[in-house]
Amino acid sequence: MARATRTGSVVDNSLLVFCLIASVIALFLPAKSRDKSAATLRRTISAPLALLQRRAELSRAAFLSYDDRMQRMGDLASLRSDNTGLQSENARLRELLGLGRRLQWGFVAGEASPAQLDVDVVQHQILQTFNVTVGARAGVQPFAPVVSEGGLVGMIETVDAASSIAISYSHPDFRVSVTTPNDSAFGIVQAHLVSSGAERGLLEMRGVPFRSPLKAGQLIVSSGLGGTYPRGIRVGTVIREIVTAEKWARTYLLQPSAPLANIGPVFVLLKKRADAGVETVWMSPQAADSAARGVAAAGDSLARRDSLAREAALQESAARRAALDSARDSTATDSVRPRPSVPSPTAPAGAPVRVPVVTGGSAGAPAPRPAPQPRDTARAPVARPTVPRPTVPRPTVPVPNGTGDAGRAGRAALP
Amino acid sequence: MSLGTALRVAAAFALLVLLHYTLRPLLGWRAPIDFLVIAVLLVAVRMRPGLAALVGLVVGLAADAITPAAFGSGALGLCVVAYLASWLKAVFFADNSALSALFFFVGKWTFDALYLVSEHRVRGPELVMQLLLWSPLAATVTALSGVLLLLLLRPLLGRTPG
Repeated sequence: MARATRTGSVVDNSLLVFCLIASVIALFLPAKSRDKSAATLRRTISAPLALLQRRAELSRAAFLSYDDRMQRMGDLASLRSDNTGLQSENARLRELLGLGRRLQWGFVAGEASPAQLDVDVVQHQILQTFNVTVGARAGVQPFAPVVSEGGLVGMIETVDAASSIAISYSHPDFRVSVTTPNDSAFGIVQAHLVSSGAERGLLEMRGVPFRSPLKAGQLIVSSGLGGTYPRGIRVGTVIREIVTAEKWARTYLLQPSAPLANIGPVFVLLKKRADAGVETVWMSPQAADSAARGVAAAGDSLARRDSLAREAALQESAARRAALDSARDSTATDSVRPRPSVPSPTAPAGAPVRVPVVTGGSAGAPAPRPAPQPRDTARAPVARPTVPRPTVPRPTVPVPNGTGDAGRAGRAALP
Repeated sequence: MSLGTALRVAAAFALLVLLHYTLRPLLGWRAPIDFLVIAVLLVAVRMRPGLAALVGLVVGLAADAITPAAFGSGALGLCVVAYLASWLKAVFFADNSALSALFFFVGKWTFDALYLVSEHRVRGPELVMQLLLWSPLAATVTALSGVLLLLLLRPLLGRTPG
């Protein structure tokens, strides 16, 4: 028994020594032989183990990279969202820059809040009042018009030192005297007060004489009557006539020119600027071109019969651009002289033009104010030009928006 | 040891080796569970010391083949640990979880010490840090896992030897 135990112990010790020697040999093998031995083992008994380990490592890497990928995708989505927001903000600011360049002076830029309103929010909860981040310190006064690139947004109601509260055109108290650019029809615009439906947020143009029907797509601008809003700020475009209790006049539904959705940066027109007039600002060739395109498109959808009228509109636009260029040239040579008349964008080249509107001096400097005019009789002192109407052949098809010669021709054809 | 017991122990050994090459890389812990040490200890206590050392050598060489830079280190560590485990099997499998955990801990730490010293890859403060921080941590995790596995594999392994 003791012998067997001793024999077993000797065998165990021998095996241990053998194993230790084998391990040490493996440890101190030359690199080449070691790699060869390891490779042999990897190809034989360690092959399934190596495969298992590799797959497990790959699975872990895939799992970890999944988290990483998800995070990157999240980052990408966030960046894309930011990018979209920045692009739209950039586009808005560019538009506003264009407006600022055309206004030149007499306005204060501010931020309307709540800004970044979602369209749905605006549709379901019409923005009636909003804050503007400029106040009395910047020269803002009550009743000052609040405008954006699109046109009229509202009016300052109360003014604090550093901020103001304005009412939007959706406010029940909002009123603005309006007209068509060629004065073919006058009316009063107010909010279209419906509790629900797709017509929420639209405007009504009331008190339009029966003899002055308006077509869909007709641009409506502020008339300058009443003293609050200068003439020429875009207010909206006619959608259709609506039936109201007022049977003695027509009422039209208008699409506002300046959407309240995502309202952000706005301009507050100061009194001097409003008094000086802004007729050429929203009626500049650039603005008028885009308006003409929109109106022409609207006319297309209504009746596809205006190829000739479109041609006339293009000619009109070219004439306006040429007139503006000449006006710019003469301003550059003599800024003291009264500016040459910039024809109304709705008037065709060579057609009777309005009395020039003094829009001020050079960029950035306040322009000399024009002679004060009685506000209540704003239309009276405007000297109508005495230039006889040209005898150019008029197109026989009216322009859909009723502007220009073609529009006049169309109106002339009306009973 | 009967044939049935030997087969069950072999199955447990295979399962632990499988875990070592699947679960361990999948977890990727800084202080990993060494299922291979647990497997070798589990088998070694049921064998004579010499045979246990041989098993340790084979398993160690197979493991070293996958990490050729430390070829031989694992074999040395495992054959020593297996031999000692077989020699101390009465202590190891006393059906006391704390003692078993302690033995797993010591076994793993001894293996790591032998492995790191013979490997010559880490030296100086890094070696000290490895030996006194990460190896004990890994040994603790291994010990806890070993005890848990012993409890789970008790139906398979039956009564402990000794």
